[in-house]
Amino acid sequence: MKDRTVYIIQLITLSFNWLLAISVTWWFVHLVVVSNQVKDTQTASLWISILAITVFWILAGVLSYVFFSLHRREKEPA
Amino acid sequence: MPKYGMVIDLDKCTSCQACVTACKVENNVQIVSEDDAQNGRAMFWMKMLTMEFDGDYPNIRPKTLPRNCMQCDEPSCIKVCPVRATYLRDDGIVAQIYPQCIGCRYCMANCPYTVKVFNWDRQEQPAEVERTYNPDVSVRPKGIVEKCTFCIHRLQTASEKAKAEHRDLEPGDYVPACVEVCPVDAISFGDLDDRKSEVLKASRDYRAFGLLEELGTVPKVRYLNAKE
Amino acid sequence: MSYQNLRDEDEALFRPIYETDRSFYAVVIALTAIFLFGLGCYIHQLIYGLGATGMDEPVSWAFYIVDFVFFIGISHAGTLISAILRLSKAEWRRPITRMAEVITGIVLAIGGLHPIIDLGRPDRILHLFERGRLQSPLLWDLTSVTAYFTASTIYLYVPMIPDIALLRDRGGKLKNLYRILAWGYKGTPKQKHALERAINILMVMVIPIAISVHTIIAWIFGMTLQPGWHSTIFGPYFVVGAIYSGIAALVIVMLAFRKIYHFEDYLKEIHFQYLGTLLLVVALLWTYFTFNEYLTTFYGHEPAEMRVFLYKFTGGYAPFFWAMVFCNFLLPVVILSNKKLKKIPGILIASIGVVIGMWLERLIIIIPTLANPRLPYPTGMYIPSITEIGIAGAATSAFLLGFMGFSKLFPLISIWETKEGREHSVHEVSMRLREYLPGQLDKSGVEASVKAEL
Repeated sequence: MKDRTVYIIQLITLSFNWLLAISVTWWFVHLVVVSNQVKDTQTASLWISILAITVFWILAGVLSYVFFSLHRREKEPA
Repeated sequence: MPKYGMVIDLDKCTSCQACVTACKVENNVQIVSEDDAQNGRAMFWMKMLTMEFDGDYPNIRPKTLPRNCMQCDEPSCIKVCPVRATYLRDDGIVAQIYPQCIGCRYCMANCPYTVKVFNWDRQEQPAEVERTYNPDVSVRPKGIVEKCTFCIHRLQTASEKAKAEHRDLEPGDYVPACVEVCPVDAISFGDLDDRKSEVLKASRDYRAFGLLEELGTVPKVRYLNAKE
Repeated sequence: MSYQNLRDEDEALFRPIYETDRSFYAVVIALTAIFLFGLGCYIHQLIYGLGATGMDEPVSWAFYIVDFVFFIGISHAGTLISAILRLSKAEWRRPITRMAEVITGIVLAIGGLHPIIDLGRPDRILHLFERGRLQSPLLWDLTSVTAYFTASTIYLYVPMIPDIALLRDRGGKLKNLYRILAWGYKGTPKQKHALERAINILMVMVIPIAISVHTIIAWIFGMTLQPGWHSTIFGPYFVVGAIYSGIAALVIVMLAFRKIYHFEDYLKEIHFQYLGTLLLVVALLWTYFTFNEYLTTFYGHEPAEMRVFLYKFTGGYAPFFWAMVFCNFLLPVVILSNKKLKKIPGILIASIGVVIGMWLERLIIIIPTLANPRLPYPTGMYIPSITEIGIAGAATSAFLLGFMGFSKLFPLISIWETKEGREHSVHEVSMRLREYLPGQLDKSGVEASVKAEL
């Protein structure tokens, strides 16, 4: 396999984590909007969603940090 | 907006179980097989509970209590439902949305009155029963939770009829099946916000109590203690 | 560290990946058969509805929810323990962490599926996304289990990157897979630094997530009004129970795979004795919580609570309750506090006892409360059906299959961490120890003396 193909596959697997973080965010925002529409303890759902969204974004961030700092080395001459 | 409530007079109640039968027929509640009924899967929206036994054998007097959904103002089932399959209507009825229920049974676990019943499976009903299904009430599929709704379909029919006749809904237009069928008029039903209503007067009687009131569920079905 | 001379020294850790016994395949076939039977049971349940189970009117949650709480509890073996050991710089963690993390990942996936198995209408699962209520503890649970699964998978994967790079450099089977997963790791100081930093962030993050997961599972019960469930102590009580069953499961798995793959040189008796001490501490903590929970109930003597209490102590669930007390308290405490018994066979027996006892604990928390509702309903005894037992068997065999599959792809004991321990930590720990001692630290003198010792 070419280096380029490997890199693209790696990027795709990494993007799954971002996909998860983004879809969780989207889902929670949707649920907060719904709970606002039906006037169903809005503050509770808001706080829960803020907490959870942060966790997922930090996790995706850490993984991306690892990915890009492992790859940065390849581009610079050692 | 009215607020529907019910008062059951235990002094008048003879435990004849007419309400239990009427409810089962009115709401197309599934009849389960004998095996399932033995295993505690019999389905009742209105159930006759034996609260305690008075006296010693053989002179035992069981104290019974007809129990439907308490239609709480602070319902614990709504609090925990993950999908909004149950909700509190403005008129105080705790309604069920059958197509929404995912069957997680959290509401069953949290109902202090153990009111909710689950369709463990769907069995073939006797031909007579299928012929006499109430067309106003949906037949629930397997895998979902159901419970007494104060015969909410009757409210719909009654208010549509009133609307067609260009008048407001009057007391007595809408009564659940159990109230209608009670041979001794032990159950009074009506609008708790209507000052003149019989049910409000009954609910303020000195004999009145709510089942497990101390839990803060604010039940809208109340009972009148039997006179000694 | 140089990668070439690694190969010979820790060859034993690579061997399971490249060599497979015939008995391995036999076990795989047996487990697959059990798994397929469970799958068949589930399909049967899908067709006939939850009527296929032994659940009934008051006992509307049973085996599946018990297994759910139990499996998620086991998952705390891993990530939480490995994070705590890493954070406290316990040097004996090195051969343990990887296995602990793998257990977490696999068990979490299996446990997380149980509420879906328990649904009456799994075809409507998407309603959770469309019209879910974030106010329901079930949604909190879904969120926290997903977060924990994500976090622990990352926490398993990131410290594994150097090992994957080793496998890639060896070449041979699945070269391309390792190349993709190694993320271009070459062991340069910069890469190592980035990796260490990420591991540090993750281990600090994973601990609160892990604790939140089991606290929220406890809240599913604690948030209700039911006698025996509505208790403020439930959050920490469940977490302690989870760690307890987690360590025990970890010990069992470690002993089994030490035997199968001949890791005796890496997993020594001392490791199990340390884990045994940890197990003893958690055993006493668990006993303390249990005592608290039941004493307050008994002293308060509220009728509804007492019905549940007596059902456990003298009623229908008394055999299970006292079996739990034996398995979770008497057996491990007697074995683990006795120096003569605290050898590998003893620790294994204690661990098996704890795993059984913790499953019983989940059972006697969930069912007696449901079986004793506040109003006088007739209640029978809950008896699980073959469907439920089959699915529980399938879940267990899926765990074992997953673990065995993992062992054929990746090293079960972290090779680079073992290496690092050998090359750097001996020195680092001696330096650290000297730092604790009174007096000024003379760095160069200490270094010379350490070198002389080595």
